[in-house]
Amino acid sequence: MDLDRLAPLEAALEEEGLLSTRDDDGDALRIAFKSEGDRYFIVSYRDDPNFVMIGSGWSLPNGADPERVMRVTNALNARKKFVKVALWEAENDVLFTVELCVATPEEVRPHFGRLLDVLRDTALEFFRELQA
Amino acid sequence: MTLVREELARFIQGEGHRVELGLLGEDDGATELLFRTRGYVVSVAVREGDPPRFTIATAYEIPPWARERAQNSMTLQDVAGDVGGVRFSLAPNGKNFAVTIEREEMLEAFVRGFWPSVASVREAGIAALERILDRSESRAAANKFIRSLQKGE
Repeated sequence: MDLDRLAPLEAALEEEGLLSTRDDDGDALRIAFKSEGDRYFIVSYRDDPNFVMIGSGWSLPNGADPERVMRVTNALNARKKFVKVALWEAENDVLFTVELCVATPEEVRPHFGRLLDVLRDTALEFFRELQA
Repeated sequence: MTLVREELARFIQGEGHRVELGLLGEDDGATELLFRTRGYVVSVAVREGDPPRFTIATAYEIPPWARERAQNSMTLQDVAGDVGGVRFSLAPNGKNFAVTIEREEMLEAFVRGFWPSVASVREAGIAALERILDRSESRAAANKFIRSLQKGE
């Protein structure tokens, strides 16, 4: 039987009072949701059931200095717990992800609020430091 | 005619949050919308009008060991002075307190500043709770020290 591996995370979103939508296909299970107007996603791949990724993607401001962007990205990667920051799509976007190896996504459920806060805070710090 | 509370509920849902109707009756012309964010339940009371009035509030529970009403009331007054723009109300039983922000403005303006206002309420509440707990902990430490002195240790 093909278990719905993301069901515990859908339940975590429900507990947080967040609305979400599913977008599964043959390769991956995906949840999309918003919190305070910002968009997030959760992905689990069918051929790698222990991998779970929670993330959010943002456009870089026009005219952002690539060297500064790289410095801020590196500083956050070095300093922040859990989060990976990456420049994406010809370096016009920035991706913030938490990537986890779990026996079951149920393990993530009690920590979901903290991980979401970390993603949110990292994005906030990224754009604040870019403007500083 | 669309009511302000309906438009506001649609806005909050559009931002990703499930919205429920709260327990406030319409006796005083107010409706309460409830939603969760960052682990807290946020209440938004809406009084229809031109302009409408909005009250954003979040409640915080004080742990039993830190429930000293007079002391906590003073602490909340201190924090209100430091933070500004928010109001604290301590429950008569001293078990919890609420933080509120009031706005009287058109919906478009209220919505533009909505998340920063919610953040202000949350941050003020967290700051107040931390101050209450700090004072209770230092008082407990001081009491322990005084008791030790009295025992002549």
